[in-house]
Amino acid sequence: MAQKNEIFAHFGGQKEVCRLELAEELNIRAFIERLSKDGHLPESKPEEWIACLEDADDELPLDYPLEVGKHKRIHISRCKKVDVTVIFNGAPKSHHFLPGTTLRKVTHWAREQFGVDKKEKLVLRADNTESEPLDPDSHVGSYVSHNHCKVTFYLTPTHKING
Amino acid sequence: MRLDQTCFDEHIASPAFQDGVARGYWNVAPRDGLEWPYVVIWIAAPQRPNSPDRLFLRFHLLDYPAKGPTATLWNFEKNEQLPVANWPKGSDNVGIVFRTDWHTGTALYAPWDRFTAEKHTADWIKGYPGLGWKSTHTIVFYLRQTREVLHTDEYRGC
Repeated sequence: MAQKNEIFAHFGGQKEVCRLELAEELNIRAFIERLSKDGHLPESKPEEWIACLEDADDELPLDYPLEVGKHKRIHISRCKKVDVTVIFNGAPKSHHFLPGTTLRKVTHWAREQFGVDKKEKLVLRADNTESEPLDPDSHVGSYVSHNHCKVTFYLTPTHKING
Repeated sequence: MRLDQTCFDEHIASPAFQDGVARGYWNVAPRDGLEWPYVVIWIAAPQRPNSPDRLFLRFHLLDYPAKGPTATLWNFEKNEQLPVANWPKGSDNVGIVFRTDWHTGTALYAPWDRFTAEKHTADWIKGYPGLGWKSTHTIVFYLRQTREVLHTDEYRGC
């Protein structure tokens, strides 16, 4: 029996991940068409979207084949790049990331930009410095909307729990 | 089936929980003789000398998710609480969250743990913004926060 291809699809502007099992091997074009057909994406042409693997440096071409077990996490977005601003102690730093970039990687980038000691435990928060720590495995593209490929995060120390 | 159990079953079938399973972060560890509201879930632990690669947490999930989960470390083979001598050791948050002198290890000493939160005043939780339980959270919130504490260089092993 053919092995099913389990894929976790992240979508631009959506926090929820979608888990799919593909019975057949698809390329990115067919995968996006399937997502549109199943209602995960609005009716659209594949050319309107970009796809990238989690933390990859380049987007995937539409004819790229999704191999079983090899491509588990894919981000589909209308934003080709996300303009990320990270604020630390009131100072901002900005950089463009692919939408499939994890917050873990953004935190690593920000730590270097702000010269924060490696021993300092840091988290990103969305709305302010006291909101819920964001999932480090979530993608920057999940925090933007189509018309605004921008997002601001607050880099804060992890709360030290007092005994 | 009870509503709390139905909600929990839906949450462990959700992509967010299953994504953690696929990443090797955690999974439910079914066990004979363990009945609702108890559930055992393992969390992967970073490699340390003479230490397990998984920690088992036995959750008490009554009225989940209106009320948050509470958990203690569990010896899965013996089906009993993990002796405190085998609890995770480390500095800062590792030493605090897995402190062994907190009600004899009844629960993790964490703002996201129901037992611990209930033993403190509301002001204590306010000191940890974003880390307290909300009824809109799922078990993934508890697991993620606990895993993030463990996966630091503060953790020295069990």
